[in-house]
Amino acid sequence: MRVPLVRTFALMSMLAALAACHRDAPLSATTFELHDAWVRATPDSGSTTAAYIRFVNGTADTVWVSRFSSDDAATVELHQSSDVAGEMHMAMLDSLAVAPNHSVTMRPGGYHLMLIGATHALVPGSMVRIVMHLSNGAVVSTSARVKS
Amino acid sequence: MQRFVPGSLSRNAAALLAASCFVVLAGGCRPASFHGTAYEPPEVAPSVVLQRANGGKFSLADQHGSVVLLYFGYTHCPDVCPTTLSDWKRVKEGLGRDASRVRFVFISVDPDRDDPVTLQHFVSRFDPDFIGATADSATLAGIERSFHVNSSREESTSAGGYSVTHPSQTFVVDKSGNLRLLYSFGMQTSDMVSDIRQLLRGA
Repeated sequence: MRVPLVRTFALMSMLAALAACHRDAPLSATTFELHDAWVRATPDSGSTTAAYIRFVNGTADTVWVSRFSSDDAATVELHQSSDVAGEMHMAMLDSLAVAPNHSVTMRPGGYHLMLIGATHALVPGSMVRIVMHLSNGAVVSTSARVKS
Repeated sequence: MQRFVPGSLSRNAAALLAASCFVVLAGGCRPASFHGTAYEPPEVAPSVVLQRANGGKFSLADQHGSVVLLYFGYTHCPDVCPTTLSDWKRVKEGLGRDASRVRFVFISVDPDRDDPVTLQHFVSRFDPDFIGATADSATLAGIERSFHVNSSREESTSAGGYSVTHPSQTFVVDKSGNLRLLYSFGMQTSDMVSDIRQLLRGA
C-alpha cells in the first residue's frame, strides 16, 4: 500500500524520539505498509479478543495511526500491555507513532488492538478486515488472519 | 554374629563412593537445571482452595503427585491471558502422555465479572482439561498475599470496561506440593516442557 508522505512537525519528531524504545531495526522500504496482521480466534459472538499488526514506515516522516475499526467487532481500541516488575498492566492509547524509516510490531505482551464485541465467532483461517486512519489523512486497511 | 574384618569398612566405603560417582556421572545426582526461575530452596506452596464451575472445589493440597501450573488472570483480558493459555495448550501438546500428570489452573482475580461457569468456558476454549477456578474477593486477596503478588482493578474509559492489573508469571508447583519455578510471560513453551518433565521425574 502506498500513502503520501506526511509533513514533519517538531512536536511529532519529539514524541517519535520518546517512542524510540519501541522501534524495531531501520528498514529499506519507502512506503508506509501493514504486514503480518492476525487475530486470536474466539468462538463466542460478543466476546473480546486481540489483533496484532506490524507497521512499517519507510517514509521520511513519523506516521501516527489511530481510529481503528472493523465490521467484525463493535469497537476496536489500541492498547498496550506492559510487564512492570512482575505485574501486567494494560493502558488504552489514542494513537501509535511509527518513526521514519522504522517499524513497530504489535505482539502479545505489548501493543495490541482490542476487538470488543465480536459480531460473530472468529474462527481460525477466516479473515478480519481492520481499518485505521493515518496522520496524513489516509484511511487504510489490512486483512488479519484469525489464528487459534 | 559377624566378625569385624579390618579394612572391609574402607573397601565398602570405596565401593560406595565409586557407585556414587557412577550415578553422578550418569546424571542421576546432578542438581536440577531449569529454564524457569527456580525457588532456592523450594517453598511449601500456600493453601489454595477455589470454586470450580461444576460446583466442586479445587484444592492445591489435593494435587500431590501432579505438577501444577498456576496463573492469576481474568477473562476480559484480551492479550496476555489468552496468550498464556495458548502457550499452555502448546505445553500440554508437547508433554504428550505426561500431560495427564500436570494440572493447568487459571485463577480469575476478577470475581465481579468472572463467575466459575464463565471462567471455565473461557479456559475450555483452549483445552477442556484446563481448570478455571476463582473465589470471593477476600479469599483471593489472601491467596495473592500468600504468593506475594497483587492484583488491582484499573478504571478505564475503554468500551471493554475496567482492566485488572495482575501477576504476569506462571507459578509451578511440584509433585510434592512445593513451589519450584516461576515463568515470566513469553517463556518458550519447549523450555517449559523440558522443566516440567524434570519435575515429573522427581527433580
